[in-house]
Amino acid sequence: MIKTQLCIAILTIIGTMSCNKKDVVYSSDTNIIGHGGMGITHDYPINTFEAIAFALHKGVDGVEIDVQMTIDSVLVAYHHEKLEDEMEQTGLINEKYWDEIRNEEYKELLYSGYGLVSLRDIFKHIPEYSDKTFFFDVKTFTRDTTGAYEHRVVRRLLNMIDEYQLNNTIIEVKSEFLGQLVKSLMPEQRVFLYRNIEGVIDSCLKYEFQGITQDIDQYSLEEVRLAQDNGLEVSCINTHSKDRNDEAYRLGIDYNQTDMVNYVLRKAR
Amino acid sequence: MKSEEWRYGRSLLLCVTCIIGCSSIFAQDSTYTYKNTVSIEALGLGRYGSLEYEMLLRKGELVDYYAAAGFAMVRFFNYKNKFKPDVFIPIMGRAVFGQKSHHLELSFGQVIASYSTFSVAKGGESREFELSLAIGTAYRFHTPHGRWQYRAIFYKILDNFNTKRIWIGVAAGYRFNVKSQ
Repeated sequence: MIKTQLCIAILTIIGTMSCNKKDVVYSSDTNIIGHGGMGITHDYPINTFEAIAFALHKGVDGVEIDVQMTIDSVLVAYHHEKLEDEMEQTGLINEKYWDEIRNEEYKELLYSGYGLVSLRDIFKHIPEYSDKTFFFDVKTFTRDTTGAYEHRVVRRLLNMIDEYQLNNTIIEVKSEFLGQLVKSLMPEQRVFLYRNIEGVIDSCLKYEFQGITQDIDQYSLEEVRLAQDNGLEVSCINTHSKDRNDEAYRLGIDYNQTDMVNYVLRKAR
Repeated sequence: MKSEEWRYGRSLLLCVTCIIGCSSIFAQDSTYTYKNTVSIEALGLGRYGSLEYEMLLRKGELVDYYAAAGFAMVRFFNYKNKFKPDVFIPIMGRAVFGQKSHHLELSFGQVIASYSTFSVAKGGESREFELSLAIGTAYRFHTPHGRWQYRAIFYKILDNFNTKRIWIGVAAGYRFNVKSQ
């Protein structure tokens, strides 16, 4: 008798919990962009060739790649400011020559040799990408305050986009200065302003940027609609939990830079 | 690039481990109960988890000696989404102190890792084979005639004989193959 009552109680609780959970429709209007490839929740480190290629093979709409540049102008896919955050070597990428760091491997994972990779190596070897979207998050961890580094990195990136005929690219910038730089060199290049502060919509409209990128927690439905009504596209980051990914779809975000590629792909299907 | 000397050194160490392991197996003591244990380890030498077989090699007055081999497949599909699993095989020798329920365990061995990766030099897929040195210290609980065995292990791993790592594992195992004393 007690067992039966206990079973009924458990089933009621489970039933109530599932009823409370709102079903979110994973619409195809939201592009699935793998953050650094497969996102931080996958055990391929982000920005490795393996993570990026795996995400593309899995069927994402695109990937986000963090871009830094060496002294000898090699564009490198790397997220953190310092090399020692992920690798054996210390220092900044923009203070190293490519030959000094080309054999570096990510050390976060036991028994793995996933290496640092240049953007050129990525686009030389990844599968068919003509219909994919590439977000390039330009990281400017430089001590140079003259803007020379930014000039070089933007020029190099635009050259590479042109060389590999990447049709669908978005350059993410954290400052209006960098965005203006991109626009001055290639006016048709799409630029997203990546900032978590108010007034970002006004800045985008003023400098003719195409969209905004923010933490998913920073968005409200009104802000998303306001940006979209003003002709801007909306992209979000930090979707590293199921709830955050659900929120991205609930808000109708245009590009979800997800850290849970497998989950989102499964839901979208 | 890893030097040839390193490669030679690692191969030699693997051979020595295997020879010591094999010779100990043939010298095993047949008068002890529960010579074999099958266990599941969470985290541990299989990165996220592994299955392991352990065999008692020799029972001493103060210390018992065991050999163990594990198996872990952590990723089934490679970056091309093809079925090419990453496989880790830990091979360990263990000395276990204590004759009652609570034991101190010291272990030493190697992990053979085989995983699929992308090689810029080859311009494509590559399968890497690596050896890593592992040293473990564990608390082990099993009653003298109990079937179940539990371990909490602290590892120091020299990953690919290059990167020092600290790692932990917890294991639960079932002891079997009784022979009367």
